[in-house]
Amino acid sequence: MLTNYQWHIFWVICTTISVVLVLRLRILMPLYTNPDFRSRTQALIQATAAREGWLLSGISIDHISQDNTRLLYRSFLRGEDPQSCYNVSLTTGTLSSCDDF
Amino acid sequence: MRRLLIIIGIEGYAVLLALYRGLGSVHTDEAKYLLNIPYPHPPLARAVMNMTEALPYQEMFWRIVFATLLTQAVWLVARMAKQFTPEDRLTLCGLWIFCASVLFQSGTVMMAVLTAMQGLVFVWLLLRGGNERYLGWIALFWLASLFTAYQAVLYLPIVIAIFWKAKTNPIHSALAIGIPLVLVAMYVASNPLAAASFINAGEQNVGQPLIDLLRISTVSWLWAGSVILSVVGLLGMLKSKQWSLILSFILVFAFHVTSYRMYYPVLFLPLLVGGVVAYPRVLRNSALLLAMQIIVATYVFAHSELSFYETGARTAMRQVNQLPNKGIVLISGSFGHGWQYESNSPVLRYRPSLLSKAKAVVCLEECLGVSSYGFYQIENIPQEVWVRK
Repeated sequence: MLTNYQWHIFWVICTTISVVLVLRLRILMPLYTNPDFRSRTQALIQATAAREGWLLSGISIDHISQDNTRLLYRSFLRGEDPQSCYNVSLTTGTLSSCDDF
Repeated sequence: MRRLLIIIGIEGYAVLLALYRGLGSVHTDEAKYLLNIPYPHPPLARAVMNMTEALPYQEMFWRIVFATLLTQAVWLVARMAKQFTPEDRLTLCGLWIFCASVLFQSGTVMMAVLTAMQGLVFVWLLLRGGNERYLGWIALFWLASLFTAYQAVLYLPIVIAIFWKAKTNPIHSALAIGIPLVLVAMYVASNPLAAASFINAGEQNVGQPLIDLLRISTVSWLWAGSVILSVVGLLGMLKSKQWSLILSFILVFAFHVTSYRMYYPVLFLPLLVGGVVAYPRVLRNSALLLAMQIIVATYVFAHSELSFYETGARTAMRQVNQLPNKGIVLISGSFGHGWQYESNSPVLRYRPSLLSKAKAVVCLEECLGVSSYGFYQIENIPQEVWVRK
């Protein structure tokens, strides 16, 4: 049964999805392994969103390091969604465009 | 020719139901799917919807697609009942067409409708048997269902029963059923916003008296099948001892208790049809049952609130979208994704520091400082909308 082409398609799709998700989880791993880091990052993202008027649904985390978080902000609307990239310092809370970094 | 005429007739019914739902405006959850906003559900269906974003009537297009799926599903119901007498088969099809959940949820762009359709396919596969040659496709369909909406997990007992009846290798079955569940759990973990809304939905009924939650869930079950199909469907499930259907029914009911939303009753529908198909004797006096179903559906429809008015989001944004200048739209106060759907410009929360970038400000709550910043208020609309001079 495992050699049936239906199962080949199933396993290929499952493997592809799992690779994509593992790569994504690797980026977010510090949030899961360090509760203090997680709460600090969460507070910082919420404060930045409140200051910039961002909707939380438009924010995605692109990269995390001990000092910085790279955020993508997308404005969802009909047609092409404008997206911008920012670095947030986890020590000072300052926001800078990825182009300036 | 007769079949073609019936298809056209049902399609006319579907279009009417879609138009009825489209009289108001886009619900915040509908906007989330149409704009492909990445929470709470996984991306499969909303990504497909998002591909049609450029269509001028995207919202109505999907309303008609969803209404078509739910009403034309009557052909699958008829196929499930092919062993029935013609009278009983017609009765079951009529019970489906005149369900309150079909009447009121057909034209909604909600994932619950798609999940109910997927549930109906699982129930059909369970009751027809002979799935040994198609288990790979069924595993793929299970994966697709979970990546359409998390609620597909409510039909897990049916999926397990399908694989169990096929007498395939248990380890292989466990992998085919379990790996999609693991993948969807990984998706939730990789999307913190989805995880947060997931927890939020699970906790929304905390603090409400259990008796109230049970009453709401019972009304939801009765409403789903316009009472008649609800009762005969559950009776059929119990009398036929279809344990997978009964377990799924309990899961759907428990889901209502923990996180009721007005668009979840349709999730009962495939299980109720499964109950009737599994135990056709519940359709004794079939003509009377169908007549009662039509009476209940008419009563429910007559007593429903018809919203012929558009929401504030559409009225206000129609004005704002006509402005020739560029800039963002600021909204003060609590607002749903429907505002984003209606807007041609990026929408941000109102902050006085952002006024220099704004072309318009919508004040659902007080907007401090807007009047002194070179904005004037649009007259003769219900919302307080300020635009740049």
